[in-house]
Amino acid sequence: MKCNTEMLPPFLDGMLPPLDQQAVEAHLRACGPCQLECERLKRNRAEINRCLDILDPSVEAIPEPVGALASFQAQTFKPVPDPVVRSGEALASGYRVWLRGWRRVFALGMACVFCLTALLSSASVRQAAAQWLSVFRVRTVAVIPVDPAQLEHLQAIEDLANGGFLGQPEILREPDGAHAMSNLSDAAELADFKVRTPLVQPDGMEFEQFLVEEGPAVRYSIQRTMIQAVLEAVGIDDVPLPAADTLTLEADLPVSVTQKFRGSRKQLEIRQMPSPNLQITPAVDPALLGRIALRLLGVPLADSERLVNSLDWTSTLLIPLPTSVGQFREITVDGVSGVLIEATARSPRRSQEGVILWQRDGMLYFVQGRGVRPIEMLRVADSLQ
Amino acid sequence: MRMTNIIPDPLPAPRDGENPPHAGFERWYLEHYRNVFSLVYRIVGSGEEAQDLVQEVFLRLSQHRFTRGVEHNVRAWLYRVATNLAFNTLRGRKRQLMREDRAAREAPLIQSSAPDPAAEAIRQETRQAVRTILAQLPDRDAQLLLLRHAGLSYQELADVLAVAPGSVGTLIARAEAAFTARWSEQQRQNLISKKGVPHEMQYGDAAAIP
Repeated sequence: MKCNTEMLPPFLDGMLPPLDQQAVEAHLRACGPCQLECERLKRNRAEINRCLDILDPSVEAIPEPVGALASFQAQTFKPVPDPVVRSGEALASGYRVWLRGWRRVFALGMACVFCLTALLSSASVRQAAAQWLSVFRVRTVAVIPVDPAQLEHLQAIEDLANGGFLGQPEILREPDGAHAMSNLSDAAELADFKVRTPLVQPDGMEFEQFLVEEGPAVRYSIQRTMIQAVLEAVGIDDVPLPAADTLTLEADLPVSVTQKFRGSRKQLEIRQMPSPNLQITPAVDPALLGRIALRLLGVPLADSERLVNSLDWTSTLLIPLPTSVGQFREITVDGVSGVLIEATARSPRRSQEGVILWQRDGMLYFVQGRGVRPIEMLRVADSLQ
Repeated sequence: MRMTNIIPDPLPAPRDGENPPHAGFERWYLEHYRNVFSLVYRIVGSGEEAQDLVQEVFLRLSQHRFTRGVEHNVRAWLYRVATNLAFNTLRGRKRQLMREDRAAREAPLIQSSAPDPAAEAIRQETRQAVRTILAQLPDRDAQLLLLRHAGLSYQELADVLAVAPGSVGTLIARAEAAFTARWSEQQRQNLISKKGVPHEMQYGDAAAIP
């Protein structure tokens, strides 16, 4: 038998078919070089095993499986906290449906929904904080990473809101339900703006329908004393308050058009809407409110100050994003600067979720995908025409 | 030893707030957790990172639909996913830098029976060297070496790597040769560049310098 050294390792493992095993044994008895080779392989193998052995964690350093399982279950099956829709609110059901649709779009948690629809929903001050950002016309989008631990402090504020101490928004216009259409020109006519569609169809997905929805118009008033109470509830006492006794916020969320695509285990939605119209009376320095909002979100004092001075509060849509929920990146999309938010890899969601959002020429765009890679979402987003 | 589990129902894919996977999953989790952790830890070298990755591995298990009524080697499945995820994590420079940073700060999860800091430092360096070599090898080679070390049989290795069982022997031979070549080169360079105890001495005469 010729020397075939590649048979030696399985021979050493005893993994050759019996006939071959015997043949190699016999060969080794007679062949000096192969014997040496065999010895060499044994040494190498021992060395490799030694090398791999030292990589082992020590037994007591391995986490206890029962504990790990408990934490796995807690992480995996905790229902995603719902920051926007709250039980016990007297909101029109149509509005709820509309809101839930939004929430799905930003299922990554908070994001724009926080800022936009927070204006419309209950008087939870966490949301009110977003309201006070007084976004007049969105020109840019800025994401603030939020330490998730911070959000728990806002529970005290939620309790205040639940207790009715923070008032209720007044609904000036009820939202209507979503109208489904299959036809671009019908959708554009109902929406009364030019609806941009992607030149590039997302891979492996089919166009499902257009959804046209009008959002509500809402007014909400808050007293200075309420703001004070809220800040005290979370232990913030070093922030200047607006001078006026009462602040009134009016928000008007216009018609939006959503294009839905669906594939096997994936979904893509492109939503566009004119920038919402928001007003605060009496006029107040938006930076003031911005500072309050940032502090409420748990941004440390030094950082808050820096941000307050560097953002243009009249035209920036601020998105608080808990770091446990997702990460963001600034990207160039549709020729402008926007953000990509991706769900944290180990989030409760089973498939990759992300949203790209940007503002251009007075329209807000959201491209949200589930089971779609960001690069694909970007391709679609860039091809809107 | 082959582990087989016949799955009575396909594992349901969980949605938010819905009931967790059935009791079979928990059994698998508890049975295989330690080994999967150790395997991942050998590759990434950080306890924190290993924990995260292991949770991801089991998350995927909970979502995977095994074909009904067919025997499945869950252990092999877990090991395959674990090594793939761990190697994927190793790629990406940024993470590499962060990991080195973190590993430097993190106390190694290794039992140091000898309270000798110098020896421990050398061991830590050696671990890093081994990991680097594993990372430099083609994925399949590194996987083979690690999984065989973790105790998979030739048949299981064939399953995991999706190759014919007959070719596993050859693949192992090549993987070993590749590792050894780099390891010896490493040793040689250390001998040349370092003062202090040559690494070979620590491991007997095992270094096979061709």
